[in-house]
Amino acid sequence: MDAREGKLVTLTINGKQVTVPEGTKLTDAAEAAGFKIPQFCAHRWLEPLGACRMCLVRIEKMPKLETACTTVVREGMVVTTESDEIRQARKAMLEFHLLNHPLECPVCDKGGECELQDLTEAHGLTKSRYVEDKLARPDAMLTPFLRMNYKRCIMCKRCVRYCEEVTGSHLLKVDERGAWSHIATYGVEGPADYFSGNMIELCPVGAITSELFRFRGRPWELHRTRTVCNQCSVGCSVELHTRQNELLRIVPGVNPYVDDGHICDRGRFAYGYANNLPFSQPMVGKGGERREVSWEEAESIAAGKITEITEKHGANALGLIAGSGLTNEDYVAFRLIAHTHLGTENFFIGEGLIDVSSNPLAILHSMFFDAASISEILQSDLILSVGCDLVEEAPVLALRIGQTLNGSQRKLIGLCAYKPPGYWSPQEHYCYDPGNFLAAAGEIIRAIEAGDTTGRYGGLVERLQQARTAAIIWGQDLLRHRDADKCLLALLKIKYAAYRWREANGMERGHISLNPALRSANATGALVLNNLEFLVRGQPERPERPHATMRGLLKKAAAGEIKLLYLTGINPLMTFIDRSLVERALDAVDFLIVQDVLSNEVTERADLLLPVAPWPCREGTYVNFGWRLQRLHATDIVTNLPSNLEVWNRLLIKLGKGSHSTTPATIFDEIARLMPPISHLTFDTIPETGSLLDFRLDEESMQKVAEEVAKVELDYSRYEPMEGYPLVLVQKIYLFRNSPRMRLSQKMDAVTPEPLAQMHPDDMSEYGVADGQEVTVESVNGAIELIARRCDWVQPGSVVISNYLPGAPTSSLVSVDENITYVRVRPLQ
Amino acid sequence: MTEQTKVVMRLDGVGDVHRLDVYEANGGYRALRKALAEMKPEEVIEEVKKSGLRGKGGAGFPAGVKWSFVPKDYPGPKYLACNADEGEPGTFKDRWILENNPHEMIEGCIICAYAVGLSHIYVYCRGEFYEGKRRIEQAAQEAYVKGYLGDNILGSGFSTHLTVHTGAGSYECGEETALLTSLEGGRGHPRIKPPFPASEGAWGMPTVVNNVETLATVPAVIANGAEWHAGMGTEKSKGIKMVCVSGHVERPGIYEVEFGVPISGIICDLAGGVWQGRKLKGYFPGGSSTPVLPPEKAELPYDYESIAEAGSMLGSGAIIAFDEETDVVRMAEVIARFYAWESCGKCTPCREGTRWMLQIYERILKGGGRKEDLDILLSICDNLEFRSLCPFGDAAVGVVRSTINLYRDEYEEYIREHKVYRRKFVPVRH
Repeated sequence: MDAREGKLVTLTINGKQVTVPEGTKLTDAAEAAGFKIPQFCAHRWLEPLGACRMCLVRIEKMPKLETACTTVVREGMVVTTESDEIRQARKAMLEFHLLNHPLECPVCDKGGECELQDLTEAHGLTKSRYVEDKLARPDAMLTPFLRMNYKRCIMCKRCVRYCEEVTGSHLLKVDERGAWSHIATYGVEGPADYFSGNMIELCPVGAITSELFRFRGRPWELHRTRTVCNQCSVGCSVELHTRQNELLRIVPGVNPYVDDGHICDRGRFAYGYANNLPFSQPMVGKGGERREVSWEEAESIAAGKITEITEKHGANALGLIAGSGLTNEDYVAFRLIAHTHLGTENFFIGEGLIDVSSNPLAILHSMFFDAASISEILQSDLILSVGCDLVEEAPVLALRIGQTLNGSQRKLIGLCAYKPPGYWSPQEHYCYDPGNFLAAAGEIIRAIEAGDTTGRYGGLVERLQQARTAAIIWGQDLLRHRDADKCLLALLKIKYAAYRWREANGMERGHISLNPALRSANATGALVLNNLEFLVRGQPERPERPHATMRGLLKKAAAGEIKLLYLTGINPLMTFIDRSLVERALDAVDFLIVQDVLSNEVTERADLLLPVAPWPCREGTYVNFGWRLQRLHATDIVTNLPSNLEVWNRLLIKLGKGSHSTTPATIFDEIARLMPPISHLTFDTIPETGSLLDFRLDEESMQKVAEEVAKVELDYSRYEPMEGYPLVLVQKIYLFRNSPRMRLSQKMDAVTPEPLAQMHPDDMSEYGVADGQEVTVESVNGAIELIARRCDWVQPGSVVISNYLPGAPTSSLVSVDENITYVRVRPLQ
Repeated sequence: MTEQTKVVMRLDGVGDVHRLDVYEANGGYRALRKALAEMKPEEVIEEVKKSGLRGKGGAGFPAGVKWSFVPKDYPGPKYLACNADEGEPGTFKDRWILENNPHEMIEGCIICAYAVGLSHIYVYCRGEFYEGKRRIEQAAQEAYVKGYLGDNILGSGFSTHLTVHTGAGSYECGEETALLTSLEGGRGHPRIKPPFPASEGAWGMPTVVNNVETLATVPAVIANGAEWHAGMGTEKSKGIKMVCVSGHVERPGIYEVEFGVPISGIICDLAGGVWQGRKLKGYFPGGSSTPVLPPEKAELPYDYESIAEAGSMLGSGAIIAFDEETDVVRMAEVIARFYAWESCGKCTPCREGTRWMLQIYERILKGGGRKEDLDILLSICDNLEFRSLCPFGDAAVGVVRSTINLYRDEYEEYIREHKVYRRKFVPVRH
């Protein structure tokens, strides 16, 4: 499929000479020569099929017309793509396509963006010779989001091939034969296809339609805004289609450096909340005393409380946390307001557990200076996903990795506490003992150093030693570890062990990159701006003052040192690993201000709630997983809710501490001047496909980093088991979860997983638990009630639970002071 | 007087030839022994090339040439797919071989595997051939026990294995690429050629696909020599062919003849002529997929070239004769229905065109024909022929175009007089 580099082939198309790389398909060569060949079944993501026969062309010396999509160019080929013969053939093929296709363009969702409609117009087929009965079949739901309108289907089989060749889910198949053949599902319960929505655009006609968008609007009436998806850290480009102040649908925006036109079903379908916002006015008071107030009044209350507490307890009694879904401009303003205007040291951006200050040089090195872009990851010889179920944590990245590895020698290897279930599991997978990643890392480092490829991780060790370029993606199982920074240092040690082994064995050192699969849309930006002082200086050094961490901040609050907590866009009750610490912190503070879009546990407990405008109304920039800075654009939706910047500005004015810019452009331009990787950009010149942040260091600094990593001593011993609590808790992130965003969107119940305690069959029989039974999962810190589920992919001795279950928060089992969480599972009486 | 020349059918009439001992007692597996002991693989290919043996599944491609296309030094395994998916209406020769003389075919398969260096033989058996499948599996079992199959065959150091795979009843799977896709476990859809199976066949490995009758002829070619085979038939169509004669004849059946005998000889002398003393109205020279020829063209010599010149094809060797009282429109409808129902549905012109033609036929037979229908039918034929993914589309138009050209008055009578055909058979799907 790939055009082989180097060699070029010259051919003649319609009398015009064109030179293209060897291996190019004739359709692409014709396009390069300026001739568009129509096609229904061919698509750049899919292997050629040659089924629709629309691309018939005349090739000299061939007896019949040939399909251009299946023909590879040859030197000296003489091709005619435009002649009376070809036009007649195309018209004939169009007539065949239209035989069983209904004339219902006026009511079809695809009308206006339909390939069949366009070609029919272009070829002037105005009258049908077909007077017989058309085939019809009632609609079917392929997934909860996709409705199959069989009448319109032209059997190009793009959807079936997408499920087979690209996503690998095998969701669809062709049933029956001949004219009666049709697309069908297998009708069996299987792992969901997280990318099924892409078949809507893939379908050249209106056969596969979105159940959410169906009959809601015509394509030409929609206002289109290209922005960046805010659902995970991959940061796919999306286009928001709005009409009459309502967000009607989300379609891919196609960014070749990020998504290549694929988006996941969550990014595509979980948008209903934007039309269904719970708050329109600030609220004061808790529970039954809660009442709506004007913005004027809310600002006075907030300013009054802040002034009161600062005067009484000092500025450090103010604690501010900003979640990882805000824009970079929000973070810049947040830092400035917290640090300069309010004067507190207790502020934190993001929701990670990584304590940078423990070892800034090594940790920041890996986070900023040695991370790979998505394109670099895709080109690596080896991709290693550690403690991560890629498809749940970074879905489109997983899809693109699968797509590029298809049929190649390069490998995706998994290393996790469980074998990720479903069709997306890596070809090669290694399990470490649940909760004991550090012990596994120690074993891997020893094996690499000893050149021993016979051990438990032998295959992985060998591949790491042999790979010239490797990309390590580390996910939630490590990021949610209490010692996330130690896990990262262990990964760095693995990396340098591999470098040393290669150099000692006369090989080129190669390159191993490290990327954390952070959860939220702008978690990478949060990381950058939380540690801004390191970056502005360009060199990682120890900061002058200890950096606040999320953990430290919550502990201070729980100890009563912080009197006022201001949470912006974060619900630590669900996202922080230790729920009881958050509970204690929230109980201890005198006043809780929450600034958010949707309702959740902390908005319920807020003394003052400040609602802000949702994502479709946001301007600003995000930094994605692969360090690409991308710009968000606001749609034409008019809202009376302010942006974060506007709230803070008004608050500053009320506090009498000056004012702050409310336009992201001003803030971005200011900060861009300070940051070398983006100093050439202004807010308005950020390219549509984004700009790569490149913080890479020179050789000398890299050497310093290597020395620093070598100095770090890590304890690789296994954690001691705990009497009475035989199982290890493993938390797993799911793409679809019962979050406020999804609760307020339509059709999400059908795909939200149940609250499950997933256990190995052996453990289930040992602890007397049956499949589907209600159980209590108990640790020394708390207990939750779940439904037991038998799962072969779970390792014995562990129980895998989603990290986001509002009814049964897993974080209530965990204490931030323990390295590993032991639990026991008992049937509920 | 046209006589039969029995080669593949030489043991017809001998009881229990499907048993190995009987087959061996009648000279069976001598050709294999000869090939393994006396001939190098290249010599076997050369011998088959020289003999002029042509593929007997329909296309008539020279077997030896096809074998020589397989890369010799290919690093992976190579396969033989024996095409026993005989589904062409009017053809029943392979079925006879499978049921009555399976060892002849197996012997041919092993010789082919030896000549081309194939490590596995897959016999792709039509789903409805219950008896044939049982016979071929039994025969393979016996051959394994006797050491004709398996590792180190007859001490020669050559090894090959045989697996029988049954289709699920699809005509399309007789097309070689669809056969391979089905063999791999996929839906019986044809693939784009090139790559041809000889370079990229089953599971991407080089694969020889040959018809049962072709392979069953190979032992005789090896045993008697290329000259013997080349001495029979015509200059370009050498050797013999099993002809299945059916339709309105006195003695329908399989007759094995040399190429070049007159077709009228096959119909009149061997099959006993048109039944009930009626006259011949026309015939299919090579099964339902070949255009109909009129009685004036019954004197043609039976070989690939003469029939092609007359505007039809020798195909798989199935002569279907129909008498003067046949309702040609109804006959064409039956065949159009076959093609509409058997189209695999992969490519658009074939999937839509075959059903459209059937619908027009059905309307005409119900008395609803319109004068433009014949032009529409002919234009569908033009739009479908040579434009579908595999030759199925070409096959589907043969009967339609040839009957409209030859018997247009009958079609016009239906349309003009709104004649209604009293159907005995009600279609079940529409």
